[in-house]
Amino acid sequence: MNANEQEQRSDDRREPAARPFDAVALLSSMRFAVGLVIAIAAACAVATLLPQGPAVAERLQHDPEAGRWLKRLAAAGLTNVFSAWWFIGLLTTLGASLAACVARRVKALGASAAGRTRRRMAGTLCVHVGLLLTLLGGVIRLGWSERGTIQLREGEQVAFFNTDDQRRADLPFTLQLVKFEIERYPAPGASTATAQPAHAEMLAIQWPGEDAGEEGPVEIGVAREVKPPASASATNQDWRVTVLRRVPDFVVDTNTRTVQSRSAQMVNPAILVRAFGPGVAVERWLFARYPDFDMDALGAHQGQPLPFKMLYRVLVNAPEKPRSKTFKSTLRILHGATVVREQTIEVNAPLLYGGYGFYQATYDASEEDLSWTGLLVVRDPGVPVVYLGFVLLLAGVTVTACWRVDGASRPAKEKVPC
Amino acid sequence: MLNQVFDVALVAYVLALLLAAVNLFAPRRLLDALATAGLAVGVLAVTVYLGARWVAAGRAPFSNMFESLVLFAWTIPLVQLVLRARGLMPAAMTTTTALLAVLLLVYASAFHSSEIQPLMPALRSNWLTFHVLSCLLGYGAFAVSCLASLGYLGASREARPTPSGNQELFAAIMTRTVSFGFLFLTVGIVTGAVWANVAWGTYWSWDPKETWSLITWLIYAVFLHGRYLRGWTGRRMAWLSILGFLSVLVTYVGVNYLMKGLHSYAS
Repeated sequence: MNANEQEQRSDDRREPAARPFDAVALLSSMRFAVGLVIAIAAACAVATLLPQGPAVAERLQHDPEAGRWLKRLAAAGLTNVFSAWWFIGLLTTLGASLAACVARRVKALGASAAGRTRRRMAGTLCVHVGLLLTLLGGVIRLGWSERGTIQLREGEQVAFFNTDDQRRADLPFTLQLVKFEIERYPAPGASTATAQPAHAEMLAIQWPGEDAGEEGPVEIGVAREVKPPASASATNQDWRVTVLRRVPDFVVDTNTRTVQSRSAQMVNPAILVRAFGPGVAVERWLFARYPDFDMDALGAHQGQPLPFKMLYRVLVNAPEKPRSKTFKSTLRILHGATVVREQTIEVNAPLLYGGYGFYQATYDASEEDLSWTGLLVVRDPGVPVVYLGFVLLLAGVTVTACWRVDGASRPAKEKVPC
Repeated sequence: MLNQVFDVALVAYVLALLLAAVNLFAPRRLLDALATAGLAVGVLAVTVYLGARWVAAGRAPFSNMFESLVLFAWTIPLVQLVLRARGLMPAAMTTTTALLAVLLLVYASAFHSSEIQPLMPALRSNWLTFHVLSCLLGYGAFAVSCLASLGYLGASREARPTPSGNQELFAAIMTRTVSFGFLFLTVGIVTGAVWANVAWGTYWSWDPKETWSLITWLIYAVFLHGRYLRGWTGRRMAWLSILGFLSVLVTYVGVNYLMKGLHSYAS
């Protein structure tokens, strides 16, 4: 270890508390930085383990009893960690700490002799400036960026977009969708798929303690004997079930209790089943999509209890639709009636114009109307700053890693034991 | 043909593991050389496998869990061989590295489909290659660092109070591999951020995988600061390296299965 390195280490080991209060010394001290990094890392870990933002409402829907502890977490700012004031405060303090380090290192760099140590110091300086610029880019994004969406049909044009906070933001030009198209991969096994039935419907009888239950095909009007398990009591022996009716898209008129099918598509498939056993006959509607819900034929949820559970299962075996390879929108930028740019965008290939980025995001998920496209609109003046930060960070880490690897390969030459 | 090359890689790693294990109890130069050669053959076979898969799929084979596990089984022994070539690797580590490589390949083939799947639109990008490759090279280096840390802790039990030669070697491996891994993890995070900006218009969205990779980066940043600025050494560094690798495991595997996010396709 040469004199410069020793000087640098002893400088880093200097205790800030030994001087009168010196904010730069405190912020640039290693102990402070490590404490800060531990706090940020812990906050990040907590945020990935606890429900955040929209996931809180989702969690409440599925588990209303979670409301009590979720409220406590929300009060502590732990359900929106990344936008909480204390987390932003931690990042701001990190920025201040980095700035103090940079100031100290610039001073040390000016005083150091040329050579390997100087290169190493320049490398670490690059890393710290790079991180500082990345944080600065984040601040610019927080204060000056806009983000929203546009839905366009072929031929339509707009000069605004809807922001994420439900505002309407004007564009300084007009955007037009010329064409939208989806490219697909070749269909797998297309020749054999047509021989398969589109779907199979099964009625399962599940006795208490059974996992899957015994399945049989849904056949209208055919009585099926229910085989009880060996442990069933004598009164549960002679049961039969018959499927009376099947509707592919169940809907019930709440006034007349009339059941109809809204469409021929299997949107909400249901079957009406009659179960009759010793002195008992009940009729139940069973729903493939809602296995825990059944409805008796009169529309009430409660009915005669049965010793077993009936489950209606629809096993979809439709030919597999070819996967989307990519989806593309051909866009035009217009100033008045003049077309100033025309570009086809897809995922990973956005259109950048006038400080705005237009990203291919979605299309009609039902695929019933493939003439409209969903675009993400982003204006983030912080991106160039962040990219500059990335370049410096990579350059700095490369320089310091080369120096460090070189140094680490010769631990015996260093005075500090390894 | 692909399956046969995969089998060759697995057999080579298993042989390297057996030879290295025997060498642990009855040290012989020949055994050590053969174990290293087995590891090298395994790396070569995985290289051929990945190359052939790349040609067959028409894209870089880094897009699902199976492919990334195979890549991981390539990077760990590769880091080990590079260090070995530079005289910085005790024979004991060949055993643990070969064991890890075998476990990764067995886990990949037993629990994940090796079928070549078409890429989803978001993954059709050249950034995928740089991002995944650099992350996995970093993870490979961190895995070796973790093994060296365990070796260090084991050696420090036997050689108290003065550090033994083995301990110094393990400590040097720890520092060197963390420096190397940190460089590649940084490249991985930056390329991922740039890619995310190109694909989704945002370079950082606090997705669980992003967040855990940041946590990992911070842990290793503390390691390097402590080592180079404060001269931290010994057990503290070994435990920090192990903690860092635990964070790597959460980033690499845990997030895919336990948390929803932009990287959910990886499971």
